[in-house]
This record gives sequence, structure tokens and C-alpha cells, in this order.
Amino acid sequence: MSSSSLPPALAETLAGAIEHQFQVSPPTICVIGLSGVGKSSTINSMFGANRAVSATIRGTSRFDAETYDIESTKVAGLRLNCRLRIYDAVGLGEDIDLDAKYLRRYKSHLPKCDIALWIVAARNRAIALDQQYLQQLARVLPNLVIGLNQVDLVEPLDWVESTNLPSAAQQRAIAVIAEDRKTKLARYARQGDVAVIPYSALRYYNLQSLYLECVRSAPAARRWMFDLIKSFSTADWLARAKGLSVAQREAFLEKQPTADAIEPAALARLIDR
Amino acid sequence: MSDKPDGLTPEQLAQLEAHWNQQEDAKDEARRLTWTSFLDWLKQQTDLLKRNPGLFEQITQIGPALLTQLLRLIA
Repeated sequence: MSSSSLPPALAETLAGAIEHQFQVSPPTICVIGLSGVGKSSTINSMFGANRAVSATIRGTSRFDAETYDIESTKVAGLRLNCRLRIYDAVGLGEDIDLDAKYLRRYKSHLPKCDIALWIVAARNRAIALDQQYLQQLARVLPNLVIGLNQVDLVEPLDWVESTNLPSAAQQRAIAVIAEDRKTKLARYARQGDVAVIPYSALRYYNLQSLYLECVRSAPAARRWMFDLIKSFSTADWLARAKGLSVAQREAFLEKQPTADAIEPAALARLIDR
Repeated sequence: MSDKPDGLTPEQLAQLEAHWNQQEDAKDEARRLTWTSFLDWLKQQTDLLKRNPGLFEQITQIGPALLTQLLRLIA
């Protein structure tokens, strides 16, 4: 750990306290969704956890309870060893016999989680299994966020590569799908209002909105931990807009404040206040 | 990713900008929530130090000035 402007002893104390918090109680997400909906891609895009992404033809049919070490430099340049814990039934929905076992595992782990992130694929209209599993898990679900992934694959399949945005026709279809999934899924959640966030993990489209919903849903006292391990910016979405000229791209990036972290200068200002 | 010399049309740029702004607003709101949470956590840690004489002593050994800075940091 090191810091450019905080007094070394203060930096040491602060870093020690933060790392201890991550060691004893890392931010924990239960990722739920049928095989192939992009659970690992979503976690990788948001937190850089580097999870293995299942092959498209078959999931690996296992229940993962894994902890990922993630280095963060978001607090005053301190090099912090942070952690993220993920619970995930990788092959959910592939085998009804295995699913019963997965659901039991989810039930035992869900009460320990900060967020339940339920992911459905936008192109998949068959969501009876999701409804059935939500119904079974409803009593133990912590705050629920529903992500509608792979919106780039929504009909009429004319995603605009030059802007990395859905076409007008896709936008209309996505809005209809999001409303439909909200009606069919959100009613099983304990909390009153559950958001359904359309996004594409691979294209980083609308990922800030999904992340914001995760932060809102996390226990207030633990929200800051998610910020330290967040690993993407709006620029990651922009980088995939293929039609931008160099000058146009640079003009956009100039608008983005460079500080996506708690900089030493910001801390110094607080100290001087 | 390939940057085209001609770039996007004004209409496409406007669409891009609208989404960019919406995403930056979401980012800022998330930062506001996490920053508030971080300050609360810091405050809690300092209160813990005050209540625990052993830990407090460790901090005061580091130096009263540093303790003052930590307290002012979370004020």
C-alpha cells in the first residue's frame, strides 16, 4: 500500500481498516439466472473478477462459491487488496434434478448476500423456470435487482454498431420486454418496487444503470465497498462505438472527469475544511 | 474498434451524447451513494477507536496530529 499525499501513518491505518473490512466481510453477490444468460460476463464487466465464461453449448453444471481478489487504487492512491464473493449455480436450468440441489444451496447462501442479482436474457421469452425459482427463493431473497442482459440480440437484430446503441426498433422492443419481465418476475420479490434494467454486458451498454441499481439495493453501510471494486467506466461503452472519428472520440473523453476515484486532493480538501 | 475519418452524423452524435449523459448521471448518483456510505463507515471506525482504549492508544502513539486529521477527514 502506498499513498502520494496522505501522511504515511494515516494512510497505513486507513488502508489496514479498509482491507480488514474486505477480509472479514467482502461484498457478496448471489448471481441467479439460467445457464447462458451471461452471469459471468456481467460480473466480469462490472468488477473485473475474471470469472471463466461457460461454453455456449453447455454450462459446467456446478455451484460456485468463490472469492475474487481485486486490487483497488480508488482511495487516495492507496493500493488496497479488496475482495468480492460470488455465489452462482453455473448450470441452473440445465437439469431439473441438479436444479433442486442448486436451489437448496441458494437458499442457504442468500441470507448472507448483499444483493441478489437475477439475470434473464432479453431474447428468451420462456421465463417459466425463472418464475418458478423466484417463487421458491422469494422468502430468503435479499434486495433483488433484475438485469435484462443481451439486449443487443433483441429482434430485429439491427444493433447499431457505429454508435453501440440499439436501433429505434430495438429500443421499442426492449421497452416492451422490460415491462413484460417486470410484470412477470418482480411480483415475487419481497421489496415493493423491483427495477428491471436492460443492458449488454459484452458491449458495456447501460452498465452504469445496472451498477447504480446494485448500489441502491445493497445495504447502505456497505455500498462503499462496491465502489472500490467497480472496474468499468462509461468510456468502455464508448470504446465499442465503431463509427466515431478520432476527433469525435477525443471530444467525448474530454468531457469525462479523470477522477473516478477518491483522489488524494479530494481527501486533502476534506481535511482542510 | 476502427475510427472512421468521417465519423458519426450529427444525429448519431446526439444519440450518443444522450446516452453518455444518462450513463454519467447514473455513475454520479452511484458515487454519491457510495461516498456517503464510505464517510459513515469511516466515522464508525473512528468511534470504535475512541471506545477501545487499546486501539486508541495505538493511534495516539502514531501521533495526535494524525488522529486529528483522521477526525477532520470524516467530519
